[in-house]
Amino acid sequence: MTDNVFDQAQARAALDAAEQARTAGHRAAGRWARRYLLGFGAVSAGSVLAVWAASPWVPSAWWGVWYALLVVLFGAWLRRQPVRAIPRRTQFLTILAWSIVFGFTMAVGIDHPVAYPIGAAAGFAVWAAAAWWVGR
Amino acid sequence: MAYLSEVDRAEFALVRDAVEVTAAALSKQVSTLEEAGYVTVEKGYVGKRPRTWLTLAPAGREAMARHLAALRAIADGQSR
Repeated sequence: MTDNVFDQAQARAALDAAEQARTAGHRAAGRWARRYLLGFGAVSAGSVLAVWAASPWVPSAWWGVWYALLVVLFGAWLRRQPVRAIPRRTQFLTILAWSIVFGFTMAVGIDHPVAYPIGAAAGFAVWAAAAWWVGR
Repeated sequence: MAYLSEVDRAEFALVRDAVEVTAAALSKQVSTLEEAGYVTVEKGYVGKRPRTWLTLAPAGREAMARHLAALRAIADGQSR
């Protein structure tokens, strides 16, 4: 009887400990994913605004290089995260949606500079939506 | 393992702080889990600083699910 009670108590203690560790992992995952996604959203929005400011002096051909640098930055930054917890599907869809917004902004911005701030806001919204999705 | 089940991978130091054990104790546990094929260990650098990342392997995820199920059976069975 004593053994049974002891086993039960041990089992419950182990389950509680596992639940606490799981909760800690879940919180850390959400925190780092949000930080990463919102951080990159801010950087990508800032980059579009930088393009807006520099567009009168920089040939549009350079924006492809700019885009490639951002993707490299995205990967390097992701690699530095202490916790990686963004689902691959979310990551892929976010990059895809942001790439469409970025490309459309660059294409339209050449003739209509007002597209840059709108594109910056839309791009940030893509990352913010991903952050919300991951942290929900 | 429960902590790692919620993430794709996590840094050794972060897990150590979260589960509140010493680096030596965690290292020993990780080595045992790695030998069992439950955890994969990846070493690398962030800048010049060495980093160790831990990932829960599929076998580890299954083993943990079985372990938790057994614990629940003990807790539930003896509470009836």
